[in-house]
This record gives sequence, C-alpha cells and structure tokens, in this order.
Amino acid sequence: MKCWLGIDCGSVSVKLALIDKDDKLIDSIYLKNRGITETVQKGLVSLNNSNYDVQGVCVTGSGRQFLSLLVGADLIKTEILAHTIATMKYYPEVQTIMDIGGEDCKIMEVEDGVLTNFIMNNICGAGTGAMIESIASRLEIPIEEVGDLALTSKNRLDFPGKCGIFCQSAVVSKLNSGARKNDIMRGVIRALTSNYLTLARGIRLNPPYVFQGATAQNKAVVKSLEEELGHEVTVPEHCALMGAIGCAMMVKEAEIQKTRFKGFNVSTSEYKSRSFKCDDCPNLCEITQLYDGNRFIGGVGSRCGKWDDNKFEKKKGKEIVATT
Amino acid sequence: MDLRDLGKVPRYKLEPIITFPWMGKKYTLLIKEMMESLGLKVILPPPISEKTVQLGVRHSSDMMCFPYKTNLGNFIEALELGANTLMMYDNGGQCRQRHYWKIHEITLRNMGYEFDMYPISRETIIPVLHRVTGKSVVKIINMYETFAKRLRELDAKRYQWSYDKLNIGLIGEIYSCCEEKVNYNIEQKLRKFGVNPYNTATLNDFFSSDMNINLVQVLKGWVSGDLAPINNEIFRSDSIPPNKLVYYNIAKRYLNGPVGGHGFENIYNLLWMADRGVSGVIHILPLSCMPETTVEPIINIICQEKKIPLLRLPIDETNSEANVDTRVETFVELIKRKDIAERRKRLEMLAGD
Repeated sequence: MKCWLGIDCGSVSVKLALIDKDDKLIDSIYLKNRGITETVQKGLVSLNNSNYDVQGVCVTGSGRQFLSLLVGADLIKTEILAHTIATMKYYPEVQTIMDIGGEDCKIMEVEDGVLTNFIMNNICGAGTGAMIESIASRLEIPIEEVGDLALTSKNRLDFPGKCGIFCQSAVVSKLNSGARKNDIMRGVIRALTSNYLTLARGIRLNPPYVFQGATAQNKAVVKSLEEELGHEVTVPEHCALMGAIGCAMMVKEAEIQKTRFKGFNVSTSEYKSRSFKCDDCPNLCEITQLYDGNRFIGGVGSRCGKWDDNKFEKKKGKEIVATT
Repeated sequence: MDLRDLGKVPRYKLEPIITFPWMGKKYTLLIKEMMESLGLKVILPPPISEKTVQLGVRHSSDMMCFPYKTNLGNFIEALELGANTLMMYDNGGQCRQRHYWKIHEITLRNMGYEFDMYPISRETIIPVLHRVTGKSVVKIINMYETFAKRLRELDAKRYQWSYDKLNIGLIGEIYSCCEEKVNYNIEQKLRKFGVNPYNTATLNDFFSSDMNINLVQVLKGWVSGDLAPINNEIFRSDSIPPNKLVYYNIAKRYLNGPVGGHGFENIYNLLWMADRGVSGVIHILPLSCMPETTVEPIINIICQEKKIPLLRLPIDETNSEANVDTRVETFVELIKRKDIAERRKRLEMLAGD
C-alpha cells in the first residue's frame, strides 16, 4: 500500500503519522521525547509493517533539521504550516487555529482557505503545556487526569499567568492556605488560557475555532478557552498528531518521484552523534554531527554552515559528548 | 550635547586611533574608508559575536535595549585592541539613545579604560572631525558629500524593488535592520527562500537631507571662526526623501510627528510600500524599544486595513535563532501560498468571463 510519512519532533514529544492516498490516517504513534535518535528509532520500528510502501517523508518541529539527516527526509517544513494544512483538510471552514504545544503556542488565522497571519510566543514559555505539567507534577497529579480533576472544581481561584515561576509560587501559597487541588488546577488552567489569548491582542479572532496540540486532550483547557472566547471550540480527533498528519499531506502534495527515506529499520544501523563547540570564530556554535558507523551523514548547528558537509568532518580533539 | 563642552574633553595625548561600533558590514566599512581618507587611523572592533553580546550584557543594566549592549561590547573589544578615541552616534532626539554615548563613557571609565569619547550627530560631526583630524572644514564637508554619494549608490544597488519576485519590506529600528549579526542575517535568509528583501530603514534615507549643504553658511562660520552654529544652519533637522513626501503627509494623520528612533519613518515607509504592492512586511525592533513600541499599534492597523501580512521580530539576547528561523520560514511560505491562491482566483475570474 502506498503511504506517506510525517514526523513531528517537538520539544516534549515525537509524533509519527502515516497517511494513505486519500489523506486517511493509517497508523500513528505518539512518544515522549527522550533523546531524538532513540525515540525516532523506536517509533519507526513500532510502525514497521511490510505492507507499507513509503513514497515520501516530511519532517517538522523544532528538531527538524537533525531529524531530516536521521531519517532521510524529502521535505523540511515548519510546524505552523503543517498544523494549518492538516486542519484545513479536516475543517475547510476554519478561521482560527489554536495550538498549545509543549513549549510553544501559536495562533493561526485563516481566511478563505489561506493562512493569512500567525502568532507564536517568542521569549517565554509561560502559556504552554509545560506549565500545566510542572504544576501537576508538583501536586503529584498524573498529567492525563488533570483535565477531569480540574472540571470538578466548584470554587474560583485566580493565579498570575504571565510567568510560570510566579504562578508556581502562587500555587504553593494557595496550597498552604488549604485550597483544594482541583480548584488550584482549574485556576492555573484559566490563567494559562487567558495568557495564551493575550498573544492575539489587537486581533479579532473569528469562529469557527479549532484547538489542537497535545494540550487539547485536557478537557479543562478546552472549557476555559470556550469560556474566554464565548464560542464553541472544536477539538480534532487526532489533536496531538495534526502536525505530523499535515506534513505527511504536504509531502504527498509535493509528489516526490524517489524518496530519500532510509527505511523503518534505521535502528539496525549504528547511529552516533558527536557534538562539540567550534572555536574558529567567537560565535562558538555548538555543532552536532551525525555518523553512521564511521560514515559521515551531516551536521547541524553552525551559523556559517561549514560543518554541514563532510569537508570539515575530520576536526578532532574538541569532543564534549559522544553518544552511541 | 553642548558644543562648548567639546573643548573640555581632554584631547588624547597620543595619535588618535578611532573606533566606532558596527552597524551593518557594508556601512561600517564605508565609514572606515571615509575616516581613513581624512588621514585618521581606524581600528574596527571584531564583528559582533556571542562574546560581544556577553560582554555587553555583563556590563549593562538589564532594561537597556539590545543595541546598547552590542555597542558596549564592540567598544570593549575595540579598546582591548588598542583604540583610544571612541565615536558614538547620538541622535539628539526623543529616544533614550541620545544618552548612550555618555552612559557608555561612564561605564567604560569605571571599568578602567582610558580614551576620548566623541558623540557624533548632525550637529557635532563636522566640529568633532575638525578637532580630531585638524583638517579644514571644507575638506571635511567634501568628504561628507562623497560619503553621502557613496551611501546612495550602495543602497540603490542593494535594495531594488523586484518585479518578478515577491517583495518583503523590512521596517523597524535602523540599527537592528542594518546590522546582520543582530537581525540573524534576515536578508540572506529571505534571499535563500527566493523573495526580495527591501530594507527601508537605511542610512541613505537617514542622510538624504545632508547632501544639500548650504556653502554660504559654511563659509560664514569658517570666516568667523565659530563652528558651532554651522551644523544647525546647514542641515535640516527632519530628513525626508523627496519621493516619500506624499506619504509623509499621509502619515501625519496617524501620528502627530516624530517619536524618536525610526518610529515615524516606519509609518510613511510602510504606506509607501503598501502603495507599491508589497507582499509582506517584517517589523524588526529591539525588545522594549520605545519609539517602535509607540508605533506598533499604528503599524498593526495599517497592515490590517491594507491586508498586508506582518511579522514582528522583537530582538533580545535571549532570542533563539531556531525560533526566528521557524517564524521567518513560515512567514515566507504563508506569503507564497497566499500569492498562489490569489493568482488562481484571478485566473478563475478570467475563465468565468
């Protein structure tokens, strides 16, 4: 069966999705990111099936440059675009796409099926999933149960949402004054969504809204967004996988003749990455180079680009970390 | 800066070795060449790197804007290389940049460096160069005119409106728009994606009015021996390129007048580009830049009215290049897709007829 593979390597998780020629999701996997090489290898092995004939691979997410070396990608796209493409396929009427990821959050505006504007958090990660996760782990609540627990809240508590650290200290003081955990979680989520929506200050957000990203699985976040916006918010079925699905759609659109995909069994080859600090100029870039055994594959991280091909691979003596 | 203070600045005993901060590779090299043509010895600081930024951040207050920090880092590195005469631009206007040369001087003296510091502005450039070089005023004005001419040629060559590629306008604070190391080489990145960057915050616009020098006033000052009033007389205080005069007047509807920095210029440049059919606009500003923050809502409104996609890049030492890359790449992709959709729509309309 002909299929297309999309990999979304985010800061917190790695998502792999396979689609068929009708843009239908055949197979997918969602893994926590515990080292990009190992996680992607694990994901590819568990997707492996002799029926799948991969026609093209596209990678996205913050780890996209390195990932493209690892799996042999045909296309490298940004996650904002991937999210938009997938959502517009499922919900052609959509006007506002909201995405709260692990360490970043975005709002995309769509008009007549064309992306017209996007906003992405730039300096601080306060309005993102990482904030919920850190506070939930502080209260020893499993992250999957946060949504249901928070919805049982009866009392309204207010927290500062501008800064994750300030929010956490406010949580501790509320906890010490005897507040209930569900009220606290609900208050934190309310602070997060209102902070998230300040990203779009000065811009009118138009319904229909689609909300995705792994945080969309949290029902309390969806509820507070609906309260803030005063309108129903749609959550796609595969909300966490939308980025991966979108980039698989893009590579299908691109009609790659011959894919560079290295196959599902990348785990059989011995991947080694080598990172070092280049001290040829005062920029001191941190370079990561990928080797298959002794064969050089590529490098990322340099500003000037000289470590990307193998002309300079032989530089030795500056190794900091070597992982196998 | 009061020009009478210039006399009190102790003239450095040794041969002056000039240095000034980087502001775009081509501009800096041109200024260096011009200084050298007056017989001055110039040492440029090493290009801005992580180390420059670290030095600047370590010795400055947290709330200062990013250009202040990189400039300070530049000065420290140049002083280490043996420069003894620092020249710092002083806008003399509304933005706090007008204090920077003095704060730089105090900071650097507290660090134990010995040097002369000269603020360079429209009002002081000729007296300062006259004092440092000992050359005649006419010679300096000659150099200044050559400089303005070279600058015009350089910018005309670099930034041309493209008629086959998509144009992306750069507006914003002039230093971050021009210095490649500060704006993550955004022009090169845009060219790599196949679009044409058109920077409107250029030194050429900045100096455009300075090319009309009133020689009578110069001679009068020269004869009387008092150089101070010359600059005030011969340079108009508001510089506005003649081809943008119409837009200058439209911009007055949005804002009463200059707010310092490149705030007001951005508005008429944006209106000018909107009329030429720009495909997208990137607004580059140092985080917490007062003039740019003032005009931010106006730029938002104009872009919404004229349906121009806008990307805002606040620059700070905590920015990560990966984040900037993602945003710029998506922005260009957005513009390209929008362009394709518009063309398709136009074709359908034609076919419908």
